[in-house]
Amino acid sequence: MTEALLTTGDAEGDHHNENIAKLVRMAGQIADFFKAYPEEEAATSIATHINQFWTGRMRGDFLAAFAARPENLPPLLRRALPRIRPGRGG
Amino acid sequence: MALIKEIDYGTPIRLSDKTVTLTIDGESVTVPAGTSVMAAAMSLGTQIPKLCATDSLEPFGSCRLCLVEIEGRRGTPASCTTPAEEGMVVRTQSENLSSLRKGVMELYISDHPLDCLTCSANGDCELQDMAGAVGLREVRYGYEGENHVFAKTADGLANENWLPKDTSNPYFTYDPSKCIVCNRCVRACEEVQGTFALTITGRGFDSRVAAGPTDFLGSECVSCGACVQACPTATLIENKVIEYGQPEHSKITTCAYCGVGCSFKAEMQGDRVIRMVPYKDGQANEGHSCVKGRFAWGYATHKDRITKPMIRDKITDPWREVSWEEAIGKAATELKRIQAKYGRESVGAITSSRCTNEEVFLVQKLVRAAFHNNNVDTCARVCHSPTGYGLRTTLGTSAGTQDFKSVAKADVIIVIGANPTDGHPVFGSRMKKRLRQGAKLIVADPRRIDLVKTPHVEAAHHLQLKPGTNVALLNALSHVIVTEGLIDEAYVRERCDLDDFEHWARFVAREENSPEASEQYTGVPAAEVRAAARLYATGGNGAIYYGLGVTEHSQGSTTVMAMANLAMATGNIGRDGVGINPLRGQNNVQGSCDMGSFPHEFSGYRHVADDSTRQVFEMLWGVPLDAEQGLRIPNMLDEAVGGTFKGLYIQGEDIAQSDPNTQHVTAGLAAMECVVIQDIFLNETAKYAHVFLPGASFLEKDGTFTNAERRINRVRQVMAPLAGKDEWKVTVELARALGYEMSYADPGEIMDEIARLTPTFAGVSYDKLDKLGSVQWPCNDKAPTGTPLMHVDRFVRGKGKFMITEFVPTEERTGPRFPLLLTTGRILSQYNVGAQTRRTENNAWHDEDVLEIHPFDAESRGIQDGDLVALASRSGDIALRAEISERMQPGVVYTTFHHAKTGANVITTDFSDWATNCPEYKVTAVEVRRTNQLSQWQEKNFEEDVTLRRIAERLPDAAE
Repeated sequence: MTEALLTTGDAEGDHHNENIAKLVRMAGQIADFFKAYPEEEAATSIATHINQFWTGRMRGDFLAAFAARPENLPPLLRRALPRIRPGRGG
Repeated sequence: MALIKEIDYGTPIRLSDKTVTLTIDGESVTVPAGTSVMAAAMSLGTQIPKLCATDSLEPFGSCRLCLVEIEGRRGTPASCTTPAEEGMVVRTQSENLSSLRKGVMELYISDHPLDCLTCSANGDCELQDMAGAVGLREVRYGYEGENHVFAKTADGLANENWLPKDTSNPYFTYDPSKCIVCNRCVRACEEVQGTFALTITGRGFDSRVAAGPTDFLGSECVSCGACVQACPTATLIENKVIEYGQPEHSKITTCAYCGVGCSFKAEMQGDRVIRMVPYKDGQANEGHSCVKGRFAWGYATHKDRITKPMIRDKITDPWREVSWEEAIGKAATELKRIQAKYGRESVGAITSSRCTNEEVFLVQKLVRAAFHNNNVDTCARVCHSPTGYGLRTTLGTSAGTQDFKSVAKADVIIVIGANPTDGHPVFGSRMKKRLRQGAKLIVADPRRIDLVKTPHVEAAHHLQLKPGTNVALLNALSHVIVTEGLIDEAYVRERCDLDDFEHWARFVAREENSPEASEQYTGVPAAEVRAAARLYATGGNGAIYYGLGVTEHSQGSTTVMAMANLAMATGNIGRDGVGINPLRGQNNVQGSCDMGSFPHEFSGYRHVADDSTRQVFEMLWGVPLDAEQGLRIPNMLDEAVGGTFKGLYIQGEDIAQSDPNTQHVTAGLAAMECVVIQDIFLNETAKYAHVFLPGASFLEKDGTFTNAERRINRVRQVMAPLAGKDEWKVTVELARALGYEMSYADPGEIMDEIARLTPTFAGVSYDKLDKLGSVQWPCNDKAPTGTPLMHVDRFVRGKGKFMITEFVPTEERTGPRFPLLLTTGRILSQYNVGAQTRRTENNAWHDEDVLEIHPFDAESRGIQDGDLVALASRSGDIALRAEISERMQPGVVYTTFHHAKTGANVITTDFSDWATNCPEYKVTAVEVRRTNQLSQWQEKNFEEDVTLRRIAERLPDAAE
């Protein structure tokens, strides 16, 4: 789910892609834990966890990468996405 | 200042509800039933002469010096083996006793050297004291007869009874010619340490103390020092005492190695440490020690200590020694410049679990108040962060539930992912003592650790699981408990959230969580799992002890929660003898977490986004604080590589050696513009630093450490800081240079501020610690003397919360390229990255990291014991020697990470725990093959040991 969708391909892209891939992997791990719960509860818990532990920049990068194309995320993360608090000024 | 001496009651003080009253030399005394006459007398202040008795050991009754007369009894019983009884009338002195004792001493002295004046025990010899106490004036037997004292007989022939000194142990000497065969050393090795390395060979006059059939170093001896401490003569004595003589004053302080936090008497001559002796009234260790705390403190004055501040512009420049002002000034200017150029969030700090609570508190305060961000993290990130998360979620507190003493009441002990006899040896000895008394043991570990089978201890079940399958195993244990009706229903109904419980019970009862189904992942036979679960649920008090084998996984936090589920379901939290207990790695890792070292939390585990908490801090600190959590260590390094994180202040931590995926760590460090290191050595991370601020060893510090049982212990300064400045003052001066005022007269005032700001510490002060010795937090109005046991009537969070813990296999998988799994750990004689222990004579036991590999895996690769092998993962490769060992299961290899030159963390990956990003050190897919050369990384590192460590106007020496 990760590498395939990250095809910005420009110069600074390498680190950016790597960074987004890492955030997706982390979010995926969090979702893997909460997926045992009912979907609504899981989505809230995933977002709360991210809001509590990720920095504003990490959340901002994550939202920026997927806000426009949430369909690239697995369903549970897609559902959690709107509940993730944006970072200050990205 | 004097030498602190604990009272020796001669035999252990018994605990009993019943008391007995007896009369000793006309005085009445009341003692707990079971107390010996000797100890009863001592509690009156009457010291009955003794040699083979000491109160750390069970009475033995061999020296016949402690004889007394008891009305109505025939003869002269030994007071050490005679229990006090109601109405007993005892006389400790009479003409008859006096002559008997003199006779005994006369025999002892007839076979003992008379070199008291030049003897190393002079001034601290119980034999000498007893000769004085009984008034020995002559030895009628002479000294010429058969003896153990002289190397040669009167006619110049070799004396067959004489044995030379054994100097094989680097820290103490065994001189058989001074031995009185009181058995105290042998008993200490058995009863206190539990190693059974010592024995008495021969009988009668041929009886000799022996470390098995070999010398001390070659034997099973773990060099804990219990025998040396127990020895009443100079037979077993510290080499430092032989070299320098007896200490003249002492202070009580706390060991700076593992999370057991043993109390020691630092016995001194002036400002020179002569020896560290475990303190009997220390509540964590009660008079016991291990080889590290007892002997391996020489690093504190090692020649590698850096004692002058240094700076450089580029990491390839040589270091320049400068004044404190210049070094602190450069650090502040650079950090300000970076923040101006790259933004407020481009700098951060890492606090150290080696440092005191007070020092750590100041560094996180500096970050929040002077950097104006929350980019502070601590090395607990890479060890026990999942403990904090998991226990807080389920129980409500980020800490273990018991005191160490509680293990003495446990009936079934589960040890999971921990190796107490190596990692936490003093606690390990306590645990073994309980196991010898009959408690049952379940070990869950991929490796056959010593506890699985060691003298007089054998695990009922060794669940030898595959690395990375803890959650599957714990779910299987819970499955058995739920489906076989072993739940403690009354407990769960009263104390836990029932909705959560029901969801959980339904979840673990699913077929996929049965031992039979999970066997395919764990490799543990289902029948073993079932038997172990039944034993834990029905065997009485069940206590869980765990270590980094639990936390350092992708599912570290899940495993912690799974253990909490298991303990709650069986009613095993909230009283003596039960609980869930993390064995913390470092001396102050609990404290560094408590002190607010995490980027999302203030002291006392309160989220920075919580407005009311933040306002309390803002008011006292006089600055607005950021409500947004900061970066964790792995995030800092990622952002450094990405170019947005540029400056780091590292207090006493060596991330270039200790953190996973070394090449990623060093790439991050190399990308930063200012790295400030505060440390006692020019460590691996310092190769990438621009400012070096010399730190102080624990012997030079005043403060507190908090151990794994939440016990706050005092650390007392016994020598002036070698660098001429207290470490906490350096942080204060850096804050000032950054434009934020801090002002404290002494560390006690820092603790006062911590107490004001942290509800769980509200009742803590140096005054109280001095009075009580130590306290366990929470310590406040509700618990003025602290809290040994947590969650007694209710859970801290209210109702205990069962969490659903689905097994999710780690992404780190074996495959054709990397078919083996590597797991890592530590051994007794070395400590973590080895910065301390490698600079001591502990290298006598372990001077390089080796790769343990099962004979099957070795054979298929043509590897023989001692071969140099290449160990490769997708992160990197290193070369080290192989040791063929059946402790491993086929398919799993093991190494330690104590030696920087090996670079074990070049191999480990950056996979991490889902909740806390604690790295997955314990599972790395690897391949092993024979080689004849060091790896490229090792070659480069070897070169950089010199090129990145040069100090101007000093000749380079390969620092380590």
